[in-house]
Amino acid sequence: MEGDEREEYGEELQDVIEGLRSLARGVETPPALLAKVLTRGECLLPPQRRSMGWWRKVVMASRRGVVAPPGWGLAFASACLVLLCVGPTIVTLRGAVAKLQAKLEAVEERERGALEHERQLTNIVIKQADRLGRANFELGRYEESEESYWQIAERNPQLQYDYLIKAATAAWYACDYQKSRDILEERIKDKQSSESSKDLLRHFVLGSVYHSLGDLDTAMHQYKIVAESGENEYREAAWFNVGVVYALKYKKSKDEKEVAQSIAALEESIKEASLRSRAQSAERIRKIQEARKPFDQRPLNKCGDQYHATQDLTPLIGVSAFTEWLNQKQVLSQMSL
Amino acid sequence: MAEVHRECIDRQIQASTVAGDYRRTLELLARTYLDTVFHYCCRMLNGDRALAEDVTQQVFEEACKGIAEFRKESSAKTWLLAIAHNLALREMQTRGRRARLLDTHSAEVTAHVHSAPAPESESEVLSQEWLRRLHWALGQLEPAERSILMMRFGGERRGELPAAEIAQILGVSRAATYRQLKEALAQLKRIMIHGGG
Repeated sequence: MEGDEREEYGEELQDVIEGLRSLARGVETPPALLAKVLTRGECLLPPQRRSMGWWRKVVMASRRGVVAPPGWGLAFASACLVLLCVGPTIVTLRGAVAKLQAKLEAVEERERGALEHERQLTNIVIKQADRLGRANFELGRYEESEESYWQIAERNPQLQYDYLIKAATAAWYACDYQKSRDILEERIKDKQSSESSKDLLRHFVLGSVYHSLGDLDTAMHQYKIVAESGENEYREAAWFNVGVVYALKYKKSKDEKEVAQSIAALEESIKEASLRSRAQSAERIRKIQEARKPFDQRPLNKCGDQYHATQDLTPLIGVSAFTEWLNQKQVLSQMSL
Repeated sequence: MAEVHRECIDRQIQASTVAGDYRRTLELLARTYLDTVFHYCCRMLNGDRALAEDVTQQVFEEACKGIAEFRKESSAKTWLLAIAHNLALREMQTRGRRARLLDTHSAEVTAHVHSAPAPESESEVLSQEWLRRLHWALGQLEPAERSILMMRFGGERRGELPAAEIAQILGVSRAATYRQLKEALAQLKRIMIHGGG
């Protein structure tokens, strides 16, 4: 420029140019002017833009070459930015998850409470149904009793086996043998009882059902399962029923062996009763005597007539062996008492 | 070296402006160009320091108002001197009383200068007396002529504007700027030698 000026303006004007520059050197700026300018200027500045973050300033400055292009600094800034952006999001998400977990726990707690309440209600309902079933059974209202037992069996799977047997028993007492058989053979066929005595009860009731239906062989099979299973509470009644089945067989076959087997079974029944008490034994002998009474001398049974298959020893009436055996048992029983 | 420093400062100013950090922009502008603006104003206003101080403040106030619009199209110094040029001219036009006072004063100075011999050597040129005559002659120039000379030569080498940027401020071509500069310089020398006219 200096060369251009000399060429442009000429040598004769160089002294004026230098003079102008010298004049500029002689002017001193007032020291307080800078502070005045800054103070007044700041009041007039437009609002500072906040949209641009410090990271963007760095990028802009680096693009213009004001600062060196950031290397690790940019990476660090990016990492900080990610943390700043993602951090609050993570915190928010964690908060939302915690809230959801709390809600879920509250719902689960309510569900547990509701289930416990339902369980308690179910227990109350079952107890009431059990009482009602037993009361109706005692009153001879077997259909109502059976209905109560069915309700319990359906409400509580754990009690299903026991109460289905009870329902089948009620059905048998109501003389609905087919229904009783269906319950015992079909409904609880695949179920296992926790107690063997429950299985023996099932076999005993099932024997009574087949007995009543006239299927004496099957009834005999079921009774003998109970009778030959060692000591159990149904053994006395099972041996008695075996004796009745042999008596009915004798009625058809007139085979003396059936009489002997009937007497032997009845003997086992009395023996089983005698294991408990003499009174029990005497009671069993009395029941045997009742069972050989003619039906026209008996009151109406639970089915509205005078016949009941499991109490039928009438075929042995007039059989001398049976009469002598029973008389002997009666004498011994009276003597022991 | 001065150009590199100036470009570096201008980048910082532009960066802070783009970033919206106007306070930083103002600080950079004031610390870098306050002297240049004040010198210009002082020379334009015939050495009236108080008035130059006021006008300089007005220059930076105007700059603050339009700071958000400042872009890279021109350098910061060009931008500030353009504002100073307009404000100084307006100040000189609106203050007639001050102009009359200057006329009276110039008459006294003219008499004094005419009594002095014309400079013949460099030592004389740079002498105090010669500078007083130059100062007086500068006040005799038309405001536009004085302004263009002060922008081009009034801030030492570091504070001077290239002719291209003066052309930008005045809104004329570069050649016209050179012509005006040459004419203003010739007129200034004529006044110094012949006492005006």
